[in-house]
Amino acid sequence: MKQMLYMRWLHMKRQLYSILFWLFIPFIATVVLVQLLDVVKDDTSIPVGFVIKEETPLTLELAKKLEEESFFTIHLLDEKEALNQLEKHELDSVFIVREGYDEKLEKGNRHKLIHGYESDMSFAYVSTIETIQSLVQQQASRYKAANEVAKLYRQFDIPIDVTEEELIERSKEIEAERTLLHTSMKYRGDEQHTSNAASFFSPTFIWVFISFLTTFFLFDWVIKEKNAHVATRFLFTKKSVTTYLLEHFILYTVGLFMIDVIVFFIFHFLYNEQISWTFFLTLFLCRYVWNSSAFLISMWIKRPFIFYLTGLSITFVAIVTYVIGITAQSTWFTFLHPMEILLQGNYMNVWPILNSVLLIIIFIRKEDSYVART
Amino acid sequence: MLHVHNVTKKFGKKTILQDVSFTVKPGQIIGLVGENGAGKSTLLNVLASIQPPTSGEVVMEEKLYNRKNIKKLRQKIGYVPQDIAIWEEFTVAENMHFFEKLSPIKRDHTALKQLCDDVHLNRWHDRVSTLSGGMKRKLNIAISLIHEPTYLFLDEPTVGIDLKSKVEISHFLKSLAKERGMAIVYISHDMDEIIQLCDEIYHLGADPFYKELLTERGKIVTTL
Repeated sequence: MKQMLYMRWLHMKRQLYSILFWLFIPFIATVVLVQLLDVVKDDTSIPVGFVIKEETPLTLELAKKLEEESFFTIHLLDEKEALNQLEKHELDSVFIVREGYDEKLEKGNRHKLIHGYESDMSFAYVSTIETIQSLVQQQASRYKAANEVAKLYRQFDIPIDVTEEELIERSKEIEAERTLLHTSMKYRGDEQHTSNAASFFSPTFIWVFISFLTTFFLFDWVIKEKNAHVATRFLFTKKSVTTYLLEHFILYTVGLFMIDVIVFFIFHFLYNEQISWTFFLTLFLCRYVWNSSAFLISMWIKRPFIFYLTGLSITFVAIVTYVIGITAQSTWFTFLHPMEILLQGNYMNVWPILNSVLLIIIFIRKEDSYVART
Repeated sequence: MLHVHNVTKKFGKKTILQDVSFTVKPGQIIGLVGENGAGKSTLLNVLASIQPPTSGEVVMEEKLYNRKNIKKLRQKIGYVPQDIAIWEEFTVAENMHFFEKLSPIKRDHTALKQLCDDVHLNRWHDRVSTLSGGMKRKLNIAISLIHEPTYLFLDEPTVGIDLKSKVEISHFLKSLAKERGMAIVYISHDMDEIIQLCDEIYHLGADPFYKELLTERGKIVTTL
């Protein structure tokens, strides 16, 4: 191990900047792209002023829910400032939540809860109202349902051991548990899972494709070292050139996986990307598939340029097929897509097995090359 | 002792070597001469087990070159290829240490440095890419000797080397043969070098030019 590290270091230290660049570009590019997407999102979202006259759990919940809507940028302001900004057309519309919001909602009174203001240049006033209305409706329905349940208990003289607040909290929990994220949808007999899928332009999605591509740029050492005149010398050493290359492939896989783990810990803290033992197992499988694919292709190709081009082509096809949804429509394609393992958490993939078989074949065949040619 | 029995080597329909037989004894230096394309490098590759013969056999210390024996036999072989087979981006020291890590015999830093001194290569810390062609060839030889081989096969190792370096390398190879009993097979187009260095000379190919040249200078040349 120590010897392997020393030999690899001798190769790496001469091209350290290039290797560091390809090692860290997936992380850096992901952070930059996510940042850029946030800026674009801010520029294209609707600026809405939100004034809360009386801060209560329900008004704060309403503001939070609005902020979660990707089309809006919510600015919490006081009334004077909000209307001032609306006049200057810095805000598309302003909504003021008056005092007594909670009490009115609890009583089922939904009239004049919120006052809305628009300017002559507002273009999303109506759609903003509709969104707010639906959120208020949701809150009101929850209270109404809790009231009705409590009323039924009283009507039939059943001793009630929960408060209305507890009923409301429970209904929120049920809503969170039964989201579409865990729902299996069926259409014309085909099952389509919407679970765990990394959404387009999420940090994981961006990182996966850049990282796959850079794996090819990191594995050009195989072509350089197997084609060097030096390769002949391995016949007279204790290791064959294939064994040497395979050992260093393992070294690269372990090293890159360690970097991947660090990257996802950072993503977890920066973007709240989900990490778990299962996720890291998937990440390792994915890293093995990418590295072994790059390694196997490099064993067949003699020119680095063709190798890079192959990597670019595979990445391009992988992005297109994933984005246009071929993988989601075809089970067979899911088995073949090298990124599906991580993006969908799908272990059912052909490459881990196929690549392992090919690695074993290459190892056995090359070791016996003298005899094979005889 | 290395015995070559009726070795024939064909590439497709073209026969390069036909029923070649000879013996290499310990401490002996054998020179291979002949025109370009005569099959000298092919024969050296067969001896070094880089290419298997089409027919015939090679026996080293009573062990046949075959699947069972080849890995162990290769550890007794030192091969100096015609193309310089060293890492250009490494220093001399790094090249020596790199191949020492792969060698079945461990050599310490001092022994590796001594090996370079033996071939008169004293630019230990210099990058190979900054060395002259002659210096690179010296390193090419030094690396081949790290695992202390019993047999040394050299394919035109002194091409492009100045006269002084050639003499130094000749002296070193002679000392390897005489003092350590190493058997050496040597290819060269430099007839002075062949005359000065080799105990026996074998000629390959149809053109008798080299054979006549060496015979005129009083050497016995055997055609294979």
